[in-house]
Amino acid sequence: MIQVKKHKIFKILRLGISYIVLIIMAIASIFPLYYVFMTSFSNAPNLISLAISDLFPKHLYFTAYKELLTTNLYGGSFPLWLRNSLILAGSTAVISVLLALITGYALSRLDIPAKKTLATFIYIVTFFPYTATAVPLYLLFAKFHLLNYIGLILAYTPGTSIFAAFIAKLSIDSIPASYEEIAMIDGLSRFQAFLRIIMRLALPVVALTAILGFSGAYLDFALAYSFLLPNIRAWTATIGLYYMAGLINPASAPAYNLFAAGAVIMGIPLMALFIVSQKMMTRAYSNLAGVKQ
Amino acid sequence: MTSYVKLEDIWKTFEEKKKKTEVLKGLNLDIEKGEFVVVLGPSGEGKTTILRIISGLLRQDKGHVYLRGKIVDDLPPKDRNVAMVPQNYALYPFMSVYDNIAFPLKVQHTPKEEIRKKVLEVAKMLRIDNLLDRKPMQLSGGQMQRVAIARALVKGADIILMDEPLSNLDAQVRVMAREELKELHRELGTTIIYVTHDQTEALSLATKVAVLHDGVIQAYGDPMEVYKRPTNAWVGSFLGNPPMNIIKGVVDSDSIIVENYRLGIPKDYKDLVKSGEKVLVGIRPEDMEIDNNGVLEGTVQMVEDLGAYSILHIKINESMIRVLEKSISRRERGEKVRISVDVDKMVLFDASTEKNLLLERGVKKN
Repeated sequence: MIQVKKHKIFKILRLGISYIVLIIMAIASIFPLYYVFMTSFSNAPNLISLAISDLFPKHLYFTAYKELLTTNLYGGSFPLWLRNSLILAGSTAVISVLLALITGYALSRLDIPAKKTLATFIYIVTFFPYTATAVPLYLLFAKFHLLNYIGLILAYTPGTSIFAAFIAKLSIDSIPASYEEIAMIDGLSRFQAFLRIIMRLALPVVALTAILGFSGAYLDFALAYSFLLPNIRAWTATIGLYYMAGLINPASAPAYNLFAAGAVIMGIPLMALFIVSQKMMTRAYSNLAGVKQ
Repeated sequence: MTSYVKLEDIWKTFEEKKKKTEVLKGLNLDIEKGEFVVVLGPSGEGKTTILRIISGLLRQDKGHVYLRGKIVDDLPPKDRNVAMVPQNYALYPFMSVYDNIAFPLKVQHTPKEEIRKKVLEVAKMLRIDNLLDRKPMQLSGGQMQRVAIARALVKGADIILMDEPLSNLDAQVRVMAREELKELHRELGTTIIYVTHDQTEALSLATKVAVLHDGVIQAYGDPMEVYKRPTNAWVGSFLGNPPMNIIKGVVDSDSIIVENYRLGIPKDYKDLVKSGEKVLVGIRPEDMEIDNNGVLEGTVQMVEDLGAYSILHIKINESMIRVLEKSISRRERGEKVRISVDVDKMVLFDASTEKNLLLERGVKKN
């Protein structure tokens, strides 16, 4: 009897500790989001205080959103910059996916010289922070007149695709070669088989690469700032928000509610992308589970 | 009849980690139209490599491939008009059974109506027309195998390559699938090249069997002929379960001395050997019998009871042989037995080249 009781107490204790840890983690990750959300609905340009009355406000003001979406700053506006960001991030994502999967396919399937050295090199390169390359890239691209979107995409894609290529290689390694071989015998070229069969079977990696490429380019500030600063109409949302919220000027107080509203708006496409890709990933995994090796 | 699929002096070397492995060493194979050829060989001897070379997925280092009388060395797989059933079936998991079967036709941009007609026709023939809406992961092994065969048949290629398509099935389904495959071949008359390491499969399916070893075809012909008259000692010891016993012997006037016992010379070989010559004697386990008046004497070392028959492992002086005894054996380890041999069914091989003397010396006597 005592044994059983002891067992039960331990079980409750174990569950209790797990829940406490989980709740603390959840608060730590949800609170900042909530805080930004609430700040964006405040009508005062300062950060909201941690008082209960501010955290659970009685009124929600949309002044920050209204100001953000309507203000014209030297010919540029936030919706324009957001559109720029989406185009830039979208192209980066597409090109990253193609580049990463083609590289991964080559490393996995084709008989190319120095394959192992190349794979190791790629692996090591992924450790470099890409902001370290901002200055040399700026100098190089200035020479080639590439301080524009094309230059930015050229600068963003290798960063994501080189990391994703490594994952793609591992993923394609696990797909039996007979899938594409059958497709090739049935009338596709190797590249068509890659597009129609391998890309489809490696869908989780495609989704992951798309997210990495998209969010990398979408949220970047440093490179975009150094490349696009002179042309206001070409700014991305991050640069635009930085200026609009007045974070640039240390003399005046920055408009944090504006900044928070911008952050919320920018978060919507990212969230949509995550939801879509998560569906893609789970479906792809349940598909592969049925494969008999 | 001219050959339909012809491999001429095919060489292939694989290089991995600076280590070269010669897989095919001057392989020749001539296949006539409508034949069901089974390439039989131990694992890792390049059976799949042969299929990949025929289909064009792999290029041979040397030699030529001819399909339908034309050289195809430089044609990519998609232009060779062959179909393949791989070992793991490779059904695309993200497509339904219908789309899987229709895939080769879709690639060729066949009109939708025609695709529908053809897919339904093949599906009906293979009795999978009730599964067309399912996804491959909802199928059993036998069903997956049939879908894979349907996909190979649908585009109407007259050369079909099969890479151990039955190896993933359990024993009962496999026997049924074997019969169905045979039936299908009889109906369609397509040329099928089938590789396997399973001899039962090879002997029961093939109209011609090709035994692969050491990078060349060691024996090629009617399965029973290859079984009864192996071209060399290796083929004899590879084919059959239990395999042929190969024992050293010396010809002495009109008999052969094997482990100090005298056996007669099989009648086909009488004019081919001379006294004092060393030979290898091949005797099938089923051509021997435990018999109190037998010529050979040995001790039982091990007994394998397999139900319908038992395999006795018997030691005669220095040699171990296997003898098949019908009905369940009640013999004990260490028991002394005498064995009689059906002399005319024995096969003699050259002691140095290990080739069948009948084929090597070329004189056929019936």
